[in-house]
Amino acid sequence: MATQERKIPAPEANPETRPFWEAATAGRLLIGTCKACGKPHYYPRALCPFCGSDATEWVAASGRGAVYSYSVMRRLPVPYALAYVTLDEGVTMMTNIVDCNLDTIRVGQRVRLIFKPTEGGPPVPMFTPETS
Amino acid sequence: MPVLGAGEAVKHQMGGQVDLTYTGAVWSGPAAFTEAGVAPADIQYVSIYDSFTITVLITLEDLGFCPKGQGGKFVADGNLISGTGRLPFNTDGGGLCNNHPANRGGLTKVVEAVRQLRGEAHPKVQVKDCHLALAHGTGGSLGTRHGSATLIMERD
Repeated sequence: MATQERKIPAPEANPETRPFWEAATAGRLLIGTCKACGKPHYYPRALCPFCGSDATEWVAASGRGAVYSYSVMRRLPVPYALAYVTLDEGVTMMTNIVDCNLDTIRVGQRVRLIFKPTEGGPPVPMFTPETS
Repeated sequence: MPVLGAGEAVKHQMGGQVDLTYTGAVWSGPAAFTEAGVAPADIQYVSIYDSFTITVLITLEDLGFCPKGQGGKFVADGNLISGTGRLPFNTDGGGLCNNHPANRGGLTKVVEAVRQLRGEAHPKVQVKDCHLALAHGTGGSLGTRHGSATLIMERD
């Protein structure tokens, strides 16, 4: 199945998420970590989802990971692959696998970060196979 | 119809510790069984929300009706068929054949469980002397965030 570009609505930043989208615009993916319990989390947020501490901070992810699970949305004008990717930092995020033959995606496949433009907003983090 | 036990739970993306192999039933189920003082092996009939095949398979496992990873085999072996299987299931036809999407979700599951307990299910699928039944609902999206509710009822 050939890959086409689909239109992606612009994400809306709010005060809590603005650093995330500013980093995305600069080509970096931020995840959250907690200085109190030490655990990384995603999506990033002001309060740690594990211990409730507000001592959270942003850290840049390496952009490397592996496909945890995926599903190809085929009944659309422009098919796409919805996926969970587990980053090497240990958190799993919902995203898309792009710029590849969607029939070749496999669970466990190594992927790397790539940003895709949106309609008038900051770009969104997606992933593509490391070999492509 | 007296309620013996009930449990509720929510599951979400867990701060990024995503695990799609279980649902909130791993929490709502034990809460309901503990309150009811019965075990999965005691249940004579179940209504389980059946939005998709995987929803039922994982829920059967999470509620303890079969070991983790054995849901497919449990169903393929005929265990859900009333009259011959060990766990008669969704004898109203379930969501696909009877009541989804017009009346989706948990209440239709309770309705058929109560019919079974009253002996008012269709004669072809009525469980003989049914006195202990379980209904389980799932709301939301299984893969991202959802709520689970388990209800165990006993005929007087």
